[in-house]
Amino acid sequence: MYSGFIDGSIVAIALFIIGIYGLIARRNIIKSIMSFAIIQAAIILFFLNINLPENPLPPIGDATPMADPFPQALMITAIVIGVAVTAVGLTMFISLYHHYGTTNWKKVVNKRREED
Amino acid sequence: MRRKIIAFWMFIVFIVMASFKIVPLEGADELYNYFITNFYADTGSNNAVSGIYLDYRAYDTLFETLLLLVSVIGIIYFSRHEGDY
Amino acid sequence: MRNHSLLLRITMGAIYPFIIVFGIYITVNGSTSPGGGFQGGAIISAVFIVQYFITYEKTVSLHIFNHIEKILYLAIVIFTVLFIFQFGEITPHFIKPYYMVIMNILIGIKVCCGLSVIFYRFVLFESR
Repeated sequence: MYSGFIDGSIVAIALFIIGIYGLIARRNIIKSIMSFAIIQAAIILFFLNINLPENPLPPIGDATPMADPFPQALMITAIVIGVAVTAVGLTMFISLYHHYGTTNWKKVVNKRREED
Repeated sequence: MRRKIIAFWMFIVFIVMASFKIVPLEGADELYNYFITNFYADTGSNNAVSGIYLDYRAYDTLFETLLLLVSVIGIIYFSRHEGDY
Repeated sequence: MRNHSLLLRITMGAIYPFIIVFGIYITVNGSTSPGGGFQGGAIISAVFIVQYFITYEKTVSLHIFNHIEKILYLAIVIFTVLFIFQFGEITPHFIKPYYMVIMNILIGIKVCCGLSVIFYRFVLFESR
């Protein structure tokens, strides 16, 4: 593993914290979906950084300092799952915007409470 | 003001998470040694990543493609306003 | 996109066949070189995005994509059950590379159809 101060896992933790901040400090629905995407990128970066040797080569054939192929095979599915989650979230947001006419979580909750 | 307080707490959480090792990952190379020694003999694929997600973890790929199909169906369902198609 | 810029149309039209060839190369050679089904499918779905930018008529029938995707999912399940879960450890070793190539092609076409359907739903139906 690269032994400097700023390696991949530190950057991944920073991105994760930024995504959590966006989830709990902002009340915009689109910014929540963007925070989900940022957390997804952080998790992918963290997993790709696990068990990484010095000067790694891609896991093809018999390269000697080979990168770990197992997190890469997990993350190739996680990328597609991230695309699906983002697309479904945006579509649900557009349907909700047509119905309530706002992008704020709190106003949506208030309007829904008025309808009941 | 609320956002600044939340950002301050998040910065403290980041310092704590970055200064301690949360998951000990140094000794986790048993699976790594198994995969890099005999992935070619098991899967017949020269690319280890392709061999893992098509042979060792076939259930993973199966249900992941199912998830993509279900998400496409969900998008078509959600984006249908007032009966148009 | 209301008005098409001439620069975008000409450059994208010149790049168009190279994207197709690159995507097919990555999909087919996924078992021996970097690449695979998901990556190749994502690259081939870029072809449909380019086609949306450079053509004038926007009539794409999404039924065909959706039906192709469902049929390909059934084919993927049948192939996996036949070659992995049926034989298990006693699968003949010379079959495995063909299985890899066929599964990569099936997954590539399926992912391409899925991402294209997502893009066209967003562009054609949600942008009103």
